[in-house]
Parts: sequence; C-alpha cells; structure tokens
Amino acid sequence: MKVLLKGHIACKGMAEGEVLVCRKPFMFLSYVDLESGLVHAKGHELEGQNVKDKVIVSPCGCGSTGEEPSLLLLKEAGVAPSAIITGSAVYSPGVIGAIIADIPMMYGFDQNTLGLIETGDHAKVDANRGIIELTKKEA
Amino acid sequence: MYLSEDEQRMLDGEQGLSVRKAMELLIKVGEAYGAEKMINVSQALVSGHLFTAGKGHELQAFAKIMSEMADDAVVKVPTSALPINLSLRFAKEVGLPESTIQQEQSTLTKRTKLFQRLGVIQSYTCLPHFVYDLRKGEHVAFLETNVGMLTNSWFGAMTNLDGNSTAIASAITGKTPEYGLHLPENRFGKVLIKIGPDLEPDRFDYADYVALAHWTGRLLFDRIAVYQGLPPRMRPSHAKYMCASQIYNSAAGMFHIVGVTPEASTLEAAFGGKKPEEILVFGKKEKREAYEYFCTSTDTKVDMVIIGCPHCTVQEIGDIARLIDGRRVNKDVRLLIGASESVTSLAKRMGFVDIIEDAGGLVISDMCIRLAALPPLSEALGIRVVASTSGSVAQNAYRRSKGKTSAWFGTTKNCIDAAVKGKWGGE
Repeated sequence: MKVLLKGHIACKGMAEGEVLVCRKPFMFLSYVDLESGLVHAKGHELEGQNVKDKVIVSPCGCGSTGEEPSLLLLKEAGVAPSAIITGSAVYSPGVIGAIIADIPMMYGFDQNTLGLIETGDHAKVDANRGIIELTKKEA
Repeated sequence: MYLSEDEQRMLDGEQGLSVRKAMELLIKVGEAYGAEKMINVSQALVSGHLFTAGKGHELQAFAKIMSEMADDAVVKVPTSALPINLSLRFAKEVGLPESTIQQEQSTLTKRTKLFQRLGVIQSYTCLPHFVYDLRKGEHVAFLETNVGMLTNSWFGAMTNLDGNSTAIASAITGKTPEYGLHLPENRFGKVLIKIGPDLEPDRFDYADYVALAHWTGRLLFDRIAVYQGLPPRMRPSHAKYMCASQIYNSAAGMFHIVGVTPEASTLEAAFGGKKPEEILVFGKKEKREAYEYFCTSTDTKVDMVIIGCPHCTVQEIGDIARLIDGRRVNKDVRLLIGASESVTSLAKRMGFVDIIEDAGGLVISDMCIRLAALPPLSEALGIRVVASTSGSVAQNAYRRSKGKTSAWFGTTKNCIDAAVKGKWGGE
C-alpha cells in the first residue's frame, strides 16, 4: 500500500530509505554514537538500531546546542540518516543542523499522520516538492 | 522571502564574503520556516570554542563553516561568547599531558586574537545575563538552548534557540529571520504544570527545580509549559537550572511561571486566553521518578563532584563556600565548580574561592565544566562515578560514556557532603 504525505520543506533534496520511527522527541547527539550511527542510549526505544541511510521520523527534536553539529559529524562519518521527518520544527537547532549537513528534511505532520508511519515502512522523500511517498511494509 | 535593500546588498556580497555567506544561511533557515522577512537583532551570543577547532579535531568541518563567517567580518551588535571546552588552568591542575596544555595555549592565543578582531566580548559563560542589558520584547540571536530559554522565559526578550552557525551569522549581519519565538503568537503556553500538595516548593533546592523541569520535559513534546504554584521569590538561578533540564527531552525554547516570569502575570496571559491542552501535577512521586532517572550509579564511591552546569552565580559559590568551610575534600575526589571569569573574580574578592580551594576544591572559570565528566576528559581522568546538582551533567556523563561513567544527582548539600566523605549519601 502506498500513501502520499504533503509537508513543509526544511532542507531541500531527494532521498529514500527504510523508516525508523521514534514516538518521543529525538536527538542525534547523546542518543546516537556519532561514529557508527548506532543508537546506544540505554533503554531508548530505538536502542540497537542504526540511523545510517534511514529515514528518521519523530514528533520533534530536542537536546542541546551540540545537536546542530552532530548531524554534520554523522555525515562526515558516512553514517548519516538519508532524510529526517518531524511532526514540528519547533526545535530549531535540529532544523539548522539538517540545513548545515544538507540532509533532506520535512516537517508539518500532526500526530495522526505521524501515526501512519511505522518502522520498517519505506519512504521516498521529495523535499524539493514537499511530498513523501510512503510504502507500507507487508503486514 | 522579502529582503530590504540593505539585506539585499549584504547578500550580493557588498560587505564581504563572510556577510554574504551569513545572509545565505539565514535565508535558508528563514525559508525552512516560511519566514516573510528578516528582523533586526540587538545582541547575539556565539560559540566560545568552535571557531578554533583545528586540524584533527572532530568538529573541524563544522568549524570551517563557522570560520567562513568570521574570517572577513566584525560583529554588528554586542556579542558575547559561550564557555570554552578546556581551560588552561583546569588542564594544568588535573595533570593533563604537556602536549594538551601546549595545544590549549596556542588555541587560547588564536581565540583571543580572533575575538578581539571580531569584536566579541570574551565572557565565556553560559550565564551571560550579566553582560547583556536585556529588556522584554527585544529580539536577540542567542546560541545555547539553556541561555536561549532563560532569555525568553525569565527576561521576556525574544530569541529562537539558535545554532552555532546562525548565531555568528546574526552577529555579523544584525539580522535573523522572523520565525518561531520571535513571533508573539508562538509564545503562549499549552500545558499547565501544577505542584502537588505533598510538596513544599518554598523549600525547593536547585536540584528540585531540575527534577521538576526534567519530569515536565519528558511529557511536553514541542509544547510550551506554564508552571503554577512556584514561589514568587524564586530567582533566575533557579530558572536557569529548569531551562537546562527541560530542553533535554522537549523542543520548546521557553516556559512561563505564573506570577513570576514577565509574560505570565496571570494564568490567562500565559495561555493567551486559551485553555490548557493538558494539566499535569508534579508531586512527591513524580519528583522521586526524576531523581531516580538521574541517579544511574549503584556505587556510592564518588570520583568527581561538579557544580556549575549552567555556570554558578556568585551567590551559589558563596553557598558552596559556607557548606565546605572548615572541612576537606576527600583525597580521592575532585570537586569542580564552574563559573564565568567575572563571577569567579567576585567570588575571589569575597573570599569564597580561597575557602573552596583551601579545602581542596577547584573553581574553574571560562570552561564548560560538565565536559570534565564526559569523554574524552572523563576517560583521561578515570572518572567512574560523578555527582552533581545538574541533570545535564548526570544524564550526559552516563549517556555519552555509554554507561562507563555513572552518576548521582542531588542538592548542593548532598554534593558537598559527597565531596568531603568520598561517598554518596543523598536521598
């Protein structure tokens, strides 16, 4: 099943990949090992997963000042996510970080829309036009 | 996005390459948020250490982006700098290798030259509100989540939580895109936080404010909190601990405290006349949960005690001096107090620094003191267990070391007792 989602563009670009969903505010700094891309925070809902080449979906960002450079560090290490999708763009360091690292990013999805997206789905993110084509995983 | 003639000229490169790059970045960010225009900022706050992250440093690529905006410009508005990541005095006192000390010496020289040329006030603190004369409604561009939150929440000045890159871009252009918390309609509360009847907020220690804001932050997502029932006599130093704690798990760059902060004279004002989306109650059980979250250690033997994240005020250093006067720091423990150089020199005049250092503690200025508890410094110093009044120190020591360093979290008194006894005995 395919679903089309429209949203706002935070950072332009085209990307696709398997979706990794976090239901809580997500930060790359602290939760993710910036050298390997592995989510290493103990007890985190994505613990043990790797953000490399994934489309990371969360309701919003959170964290501290270090969140902005952490996206460029992931990119430099070759383990950056392919795209980032957030419900809101209220956490500005995350948005600025995506722009600096040139990682396609879209936002502007309510809880119901975010609820449609599940880990394991495949997303084609067209952050030039503001459209996400979501292919649901086989049930 | 609409640009004024002046802004267009900056974009065209009439004021040099750095200003042009800065405008390009600010426009990209503005477009991301659908900003209609740029607004003037009257003050800025930039990174204290990233510009000088040189060859071999993990942040070299990022520092290059920052330097491009600093190479060929001067700041247009009063701008101060955040803490540095290693102070020379700290490096010497804790016995870091000679090569590290020499490298730090050369970085210091470079940094001083750069900031003198740029015109950046070398305050090196995450408590820069002594440097600025902020007023309600003023637009500023402040890097650092904690400082930005305090600026919005406590002073009623308006800033987004800027990035390292956008903060220097705003400093050299005097501009920021009009979005987020620069727009009054985005500054209203959404969630009401009440204090349970089983707690006595009049007796809250700094650590209790940390616990409150942490517990709240985990439930807020991107919504602005409105706290009700906190003491009218609470101080900015209490609020700064709340800021540093809340933002770690939520996105909004401000909160309101009814009857205390400037945009919350009444509950109605804080919510913009609307009803709260959700009402949460922080009671004894919730407070306990927050303390338990930060206390990741099972070993009561403490190696390091850190107070000063965010940087201490002179009053806090005075409190520490009174608690430690006549006692001695345990020989197996490092007690580190972090503050700005200006606060430290006041504390010296007051005799507080001598009392603390004669007892075996160290008062370190200019440095982001929590870094002592995180890798690579925690590894170099062999820190297994850290104790702090700061939730940020406690959770980051644990998270960033992948559990190799664990933490205790508690009141200033708990922490000083641990420094003296070498063992954690807090709640």
